[in-house]
Amino acid sequence: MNFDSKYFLVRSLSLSAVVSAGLILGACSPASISVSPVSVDHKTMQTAGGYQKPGAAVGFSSNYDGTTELGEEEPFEIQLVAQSAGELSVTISAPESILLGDSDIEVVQSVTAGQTVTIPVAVQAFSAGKYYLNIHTRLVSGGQARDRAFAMAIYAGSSQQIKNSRSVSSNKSGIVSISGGESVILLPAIETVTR
Amino acid sequence: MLLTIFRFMPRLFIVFISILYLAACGGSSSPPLNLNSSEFVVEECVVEESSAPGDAVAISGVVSFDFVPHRTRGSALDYDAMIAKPARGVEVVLLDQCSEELKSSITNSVGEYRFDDVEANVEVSVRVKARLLSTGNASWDFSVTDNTNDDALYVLQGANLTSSSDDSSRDLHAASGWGGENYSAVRSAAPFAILDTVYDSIQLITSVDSAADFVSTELRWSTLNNTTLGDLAEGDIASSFYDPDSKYIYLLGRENDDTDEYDQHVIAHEFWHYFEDNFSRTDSIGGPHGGGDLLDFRVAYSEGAGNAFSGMVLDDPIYVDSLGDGQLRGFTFDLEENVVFVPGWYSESSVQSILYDLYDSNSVDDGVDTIDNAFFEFYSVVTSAAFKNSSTMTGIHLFLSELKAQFPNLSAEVDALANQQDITVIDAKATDETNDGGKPSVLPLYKTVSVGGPAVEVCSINDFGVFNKLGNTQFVELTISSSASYSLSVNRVSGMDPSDPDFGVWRNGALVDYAGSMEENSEEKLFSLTAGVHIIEIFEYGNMDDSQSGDVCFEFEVN
Repeated sequence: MNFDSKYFLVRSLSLSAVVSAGLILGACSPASISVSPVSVDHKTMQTAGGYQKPGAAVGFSSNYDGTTELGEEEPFEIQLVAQSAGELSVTISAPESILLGDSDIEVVQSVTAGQTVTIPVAVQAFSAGKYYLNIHTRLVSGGQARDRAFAMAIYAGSSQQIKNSRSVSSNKSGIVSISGGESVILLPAIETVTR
Repeated sequence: MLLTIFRFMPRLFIVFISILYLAACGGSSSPPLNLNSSEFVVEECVVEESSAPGDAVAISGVVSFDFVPHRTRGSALDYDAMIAKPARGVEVVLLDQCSEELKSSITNSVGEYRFDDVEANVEVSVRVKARLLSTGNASWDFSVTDNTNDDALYVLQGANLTSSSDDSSRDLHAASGWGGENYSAVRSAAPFAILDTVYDSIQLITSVDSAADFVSTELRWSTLNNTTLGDLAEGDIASSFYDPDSKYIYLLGRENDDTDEYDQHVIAHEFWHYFEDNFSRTDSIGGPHGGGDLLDFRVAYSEGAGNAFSGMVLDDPIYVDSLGDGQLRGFTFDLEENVVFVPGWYSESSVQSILYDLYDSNSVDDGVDTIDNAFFEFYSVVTSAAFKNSSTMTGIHLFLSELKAQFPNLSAEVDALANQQDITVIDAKATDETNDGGKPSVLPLYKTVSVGGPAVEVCSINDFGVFNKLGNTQFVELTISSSASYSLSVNRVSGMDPSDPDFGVWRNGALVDYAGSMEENSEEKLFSLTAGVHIIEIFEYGNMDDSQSGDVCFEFEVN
């Protein structure tokens, strides 16, 4: 028994539990991010934590420790669990900001239900920031193909360096304005005026 | 500041002008911009008087957005086939120079809006809110907000221009931002593309319920929303999903990872979860799922219904979800497909096949489907008191038995559709169901226990996965004749050792209480129960979180 798995809020058990077990099937309940202690000797009932979209029955986990030193190669493993037998295809790619070996990683193999596919990965970053590896999976099972994407956050540099990098490279999608007490993001329009 | 503005204002000088004005037109009554910095000098905004007062004028126009369809074959987004679609039912406001709202309008079914009695020769701008709004017989308020940007509302902003002395029109178009190989400009169209599917969902529902009262909510989308599980405010939302706690729908938007603003079936699927939470009832525990999975029947029903509903909303049985590099990958499946990998009450594919066949017209009858245009019947059942207050859990047996009860003229056709998916529908409790998915322990769906009666054996298995898969949980029906305290106990009799049995007590879909101690191989608790039917949900905790999963059987008794 994973003792830590006993500490979940009622509404967060559903996927937090799965996450804690390193078996983030598909894309786990995003509503279950918070993990808060309730009791040391009493669990809570699983109820809906989030209804997610259909996709490949593939679980994702990794042993990435959450920090990457600038300039240092960071090796870790990505584990994908096929929930159904079939053919699993995996493509792992990285943004230009980080190195992922010589090229994208591609794996195609037959899998049995419950089989774990382990993929060794090494990343290297030269500027601080939070970056995402893109992991695309496709499982062809029972004559049906389903895809699911997983992004994996890579934290390069110290927390302060990452914070600083965010302040100068904010990737917000618009401008926030306060108008009539309402926060809005102004999106540009193509406007045609006829008088 | 100008660099910041230029970054978001490509190409369109007229728009650039309007936003630059807003930046300069600060005021305590109407602060113009908040870029989370102190670089702006706040000044009082003063509305200038008309340069040439005259008769009132009208300003009208059409609001549209870029819509990117999928390729005819496959699931990739086809940017070459992009079309302009009208923004239907969205709120449009007329603003003065200080961004104060002067008038409000709602676009019609072709995207038209109109403001009458506008003062002549004053500076005004048109703003289109990413908000569907109705206060009529049927009412709703759905907006698209940015969870990575203080949950701010997206608005399409026109330029500050004079209202002139004659009627005029201002058409506003939201562009996709696609630059040929990637998104190179602001994705103005996305919030309106999302609302377009919500609008279709509303239209379908109000076609059979003209007084539908929708609970207001937000659809939260951002270009940063990605498939990492983490902080929602950073966009790490993992999947498009409906959150029953907040009532919000979160949607993916990060390019080359997974974007859903043009994946209409995905949006409608998540809208179904909003619908069943607010109009109907669901006992689904959510979680990961797919067409080939053998699922907890509550999950299979909820997800299969979501897929079917998406096809109903769009009148299109081909479910499509694009993702990946350049939004060029993805998958499709056909809701009309009746040949299912492992058919049954635990398959979302079986559920979607049955439910979509209820909806479709006779022109596409297939297999044993002879029911046509039965969305009214579908809606009537899922919103009925009998369905919402049933003592049994929500699943395909409950739905179909209620459909047969409420519309007995459909009984034979319903049975044919169910039988085609190897499902037997006698009643909501799945009496006489024989399809066990290859695991006899999963039947019957509801075992029965009585106070002081013999113990009943239940098993929790992980053969089909964990958390929400077939056999993780078993259900027992308990009828209480008089309100009192009762001792409910579960003890391991075979299988995985040690085990950690837990159970919950449900009454008409509401959780009464839960027994979840860490005691090995047993669980016992006193419950205060009222007269009536209760459902006991029993499971091995290790099969919920996979910490130590396995097959294990228990004896359950009540005293």
